[in-house]
Amino acid sequence: MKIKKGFEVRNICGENIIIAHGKENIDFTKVVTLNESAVLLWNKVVDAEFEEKDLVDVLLEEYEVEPSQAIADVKSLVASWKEAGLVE
Amino acid sequence: MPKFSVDNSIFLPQVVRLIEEGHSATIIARGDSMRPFIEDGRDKLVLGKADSIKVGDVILAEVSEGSFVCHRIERISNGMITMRGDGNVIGTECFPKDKVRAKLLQVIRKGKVYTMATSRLWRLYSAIWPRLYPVRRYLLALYRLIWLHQLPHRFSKNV
Repeated sequence: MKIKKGFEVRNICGENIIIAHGKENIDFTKVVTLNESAVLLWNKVVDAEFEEKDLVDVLLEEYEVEPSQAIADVKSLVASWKEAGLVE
Repeated sequence: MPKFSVDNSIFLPQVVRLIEEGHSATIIARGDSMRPFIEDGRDKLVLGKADSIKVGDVILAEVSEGSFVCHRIERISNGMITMRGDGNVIGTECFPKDKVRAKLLQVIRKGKVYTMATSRLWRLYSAIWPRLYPVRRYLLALYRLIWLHQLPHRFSKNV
């Protein structure tokens, strides 16, 4: 899978907000924000094809976390990205 | 869904930047100054580039640094714009034309989209409401009483 073209993370007032460049209208009444670790993962895969396992590897490398926790967190994050229509 | 609030002086410049890049932006309306059509927290504003503006348009202007106001243009003369909020009885803003940052393109009022340029209701309202200015105070009081069920302060139980 990969992150759809045209999405950019912008830091607005301390929040990492996803802006869709391809979309004409940016709806600030419903935004998708990324926390610190989600931004890290996003930046690692934003220009490439990736699998959930790649994200798990990044988490394990960057943070002290149990593999099972990392897998669960990545699953949940990717699910939310898919739900928000960010991933194809 | 969690909510987060951002101070206008930080948020709106970002919105303006996106508008300058060619996007339109949807934000939640805050404040009572554009009553009775637009209501605080309930309605949404779609702002876009202010390519051409005329009396009667609703625009977003940076009236002083970091201070943004979104009201209706009452007058344009000698490069200066005077605007007044539909829900304001006293008070106008007056500033040079170059302070305009965006124009109101659509209002999403109670979930329904009204496009300023084409909506019959908006155009009718825009033609009539400013003309009712001499009795605006009373109309707004009636609006608060009947539609918002707000008693005038002196009749409130909790003072």
